Amino acid sequence: MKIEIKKLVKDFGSNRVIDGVSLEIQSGELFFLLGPSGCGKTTVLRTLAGFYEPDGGEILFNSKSMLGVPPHKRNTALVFQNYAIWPHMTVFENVAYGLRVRGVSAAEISERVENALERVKMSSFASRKPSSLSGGQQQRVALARAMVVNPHALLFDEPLSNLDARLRLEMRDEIKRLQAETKITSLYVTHDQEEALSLAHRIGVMNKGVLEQVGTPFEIYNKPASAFVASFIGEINLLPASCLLAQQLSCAIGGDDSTVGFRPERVQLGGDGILGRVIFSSYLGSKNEVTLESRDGTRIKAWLQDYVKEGDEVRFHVESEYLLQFQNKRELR
Amino acid sequence: MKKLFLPPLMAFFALFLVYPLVTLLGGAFQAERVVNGQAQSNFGFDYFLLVFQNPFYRECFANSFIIAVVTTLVTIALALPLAMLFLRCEFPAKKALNVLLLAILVLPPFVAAIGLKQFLSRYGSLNLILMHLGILSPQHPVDWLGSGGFAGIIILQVLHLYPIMMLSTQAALANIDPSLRDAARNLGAGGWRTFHTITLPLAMPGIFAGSSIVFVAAFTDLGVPLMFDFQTTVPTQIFNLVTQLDNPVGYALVVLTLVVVSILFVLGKKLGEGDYAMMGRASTQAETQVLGGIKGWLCTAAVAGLIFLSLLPHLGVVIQSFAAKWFMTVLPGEWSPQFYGEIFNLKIATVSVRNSLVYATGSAVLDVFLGMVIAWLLVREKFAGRGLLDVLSMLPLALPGLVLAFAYYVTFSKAPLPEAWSGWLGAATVKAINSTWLEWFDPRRNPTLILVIAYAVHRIPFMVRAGYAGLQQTSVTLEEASANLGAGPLRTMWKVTLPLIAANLIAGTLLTFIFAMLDVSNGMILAQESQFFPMTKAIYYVMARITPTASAIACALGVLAMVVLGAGLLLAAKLLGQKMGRLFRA
Repeated sequence: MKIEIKKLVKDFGSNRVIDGVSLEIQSGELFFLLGPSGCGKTTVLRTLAGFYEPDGGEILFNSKSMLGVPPHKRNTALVFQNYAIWPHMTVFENVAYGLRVRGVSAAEISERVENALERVKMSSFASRKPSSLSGGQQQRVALARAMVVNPHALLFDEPLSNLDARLRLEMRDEIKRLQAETKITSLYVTHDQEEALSLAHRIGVMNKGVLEQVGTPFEIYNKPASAFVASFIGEINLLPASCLLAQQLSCAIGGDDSTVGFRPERVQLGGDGILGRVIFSSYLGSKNEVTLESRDGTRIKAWLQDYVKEGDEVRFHVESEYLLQFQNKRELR
Repeated sequence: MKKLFLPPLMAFFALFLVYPLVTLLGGAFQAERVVNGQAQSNFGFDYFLLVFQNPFYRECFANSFIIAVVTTLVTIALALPLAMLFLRCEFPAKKALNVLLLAILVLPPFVAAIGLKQFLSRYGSLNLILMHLGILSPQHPVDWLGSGGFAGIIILQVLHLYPIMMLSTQAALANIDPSLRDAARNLGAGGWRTFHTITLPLAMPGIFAGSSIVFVAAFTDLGVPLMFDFQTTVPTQIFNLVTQLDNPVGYALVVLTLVVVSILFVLGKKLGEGDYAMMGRASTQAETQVLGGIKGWLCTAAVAGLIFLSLLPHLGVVIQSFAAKWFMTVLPGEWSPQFYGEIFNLKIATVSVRNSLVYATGSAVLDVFLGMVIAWLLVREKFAGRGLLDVLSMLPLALPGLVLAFAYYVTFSKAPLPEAWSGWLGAATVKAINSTWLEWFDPRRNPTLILVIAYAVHRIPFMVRAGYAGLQQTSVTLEEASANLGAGPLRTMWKVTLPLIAANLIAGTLLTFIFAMLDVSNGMILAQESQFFPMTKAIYYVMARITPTASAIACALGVLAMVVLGAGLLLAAKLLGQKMGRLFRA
């Protein structure tokens, strides 16, 4: 199912949480909304699920407007951040709930629930109460519960943020596999850039209620549309275009109104580059994280393959194709 | 600290909690048998059999059960929608209405019975209004109070107790992670289905907890049936039997009441806890829906209507207290403030006001001390018997006023040491101990001390909780800093700890004071001479006089009690602010 969001606006009191977000999620796509907490990404998701009515704009499921359609008539399935597994029901009953609501026959229910539990490797837990399950197991049940109803859309609300690092990696692969198998249109909301980069077909980066950029993980990382996107995803050196170092690096490009940026791994040593001094160095084996200070006192981060020590004088440069330029926003000036 | 306070504390509990209960149980489980021509008393269930074989007592039990069950069910029906409304919606005047609901909880239903009678009796205001409207024929008035006031008792219990059920339900509902409901809605469940498959099962523990409180309160309440002069309930029979010290049926009735209460208490605790400890943190705040316009005002009107209904009996009391003539009219025919003047001319009234103030002040002072010390020991000290102290200080929660008052009466009006002990203690010693005991404690001589202790013991759990909460919020390092600078433990407590938890303590004290002013069971049972009557018993006594102004004067006294109560509550609310509601949760 194709999801269209058109100029969505949502206010909480006098606070505008979503300010004109438009995007399309194609049928079968795994789309990510990525942004810092409070950027409005969860609000977009909950509006899709029908828990909030928009204050402006429109939401279309397969070109059909969802305005005024209550949550239980939308056939979306949400995977909650805190799992929201009902503690008074067994695992089986939790997964069966959506099917019972839909009036599915008892025989079909037990078959589909068993299948769904099989898929998330939880078959042996069917008769257990949720209180005896670990966080990861609860999240698997939540996944099964969401997918068993064959929803038009799967909505993930930071589903992995309550899990420890190892489980998170495991569940990440699980979600990717399940989505690829079922091909259910999915919206996944997270603040974890690694999760987004590794799973997404496309990513939308949100900031302060505005969608800053939509693109593939490669585009988002390598061609960030704004200084915010560039700094939120991965590490970046940002310099005002007017400063000496920026002008030395970029030669021709510039203008007072812009910012020049480059990723630390794009800094290279040698040649007739710019003169700088290593003031901090942290050797990690696969790379050497250093802080360089140029003659004018500007400091930048660089991830080098070369071995340098603190105090060393080096020459460095950045290939022009890796130099990024961002127009400063007016309100930020 | 613990060496100083623990022994007297334990002695206090032994003397005023354990010993009376043992005496009570001992009296109930006795069996008199003639062995070899001599009367002997052994352990047995004879008196319980006596109670069960007597159709009159069976009827009493049946009535009390019906009162309690119906009250519980109706309060649930009222409290559940009310709790959901208050939790999930915003509507005009919500805060004010919430405060009024709490006020209902503390207004004495006992006095309100007079007001309710005035409105609902055969020729009471309601029927008269209906007659004026031509709906009801004057020849066949409806008896709203039911046979002998039975329905009236239930109405009053419901109107008094639904706020406590609401508090309990509301707490349970507030604990439910909103995403659990969202998940059900998201999977296609409509509002009603979400309610009965998710919300209700998850709120059940709170409803059970509330139910056990309401059931016990309705089952053991003495004041309301007494005011309706409804004799066939367990509490009224216990009251009638109390003066017959040697009649073991009273013991058996009290112990049976205690059994019923204990079963419910345990049941409420067990079902009330549930295994639904919420997992994970709520990802979303529970949203309150703002009900604007007509819808909001309709809610306000409905809640206000219910509150008005609950306050109506109390309003009746106020009206009655000014009614020079109120007979066969909707409202009094003549108004007059004279009855307030008459209070001061009536010896029993003035004496009772003074008595109540003495009892209430005494028990409040005693409770501050007990509550503070017990809470301090429980929070800050580790010692053998800590668990025991905890249990003892919470035990009064499970003992209705009726039970403890009866136990006190039978325990302290008898000499503690039997004649047989003279052999090894010496006749003189036994006699001295016994006469001192009776001189101090015997409620038939002077119930002051025993009443003060009774009120204090009843409120100990609440005081300990108040102190406990205060101490837990106060870092122990503040006390350590004081000790580190050279202050001894007592000085530290007085200079540092007490001021820090003063607000909690004062609020708890005020509530003890209010409880003592309005309590019915203890005063009724323990104060037998009119010179020692507290206000509640004086109201009952004045009501029972066959003079035309009896009920008006009783009501004036009742209003006076409510004024004292109102002042106390306002003060407590000022001190506690938002935390007020917590104090009423048992």
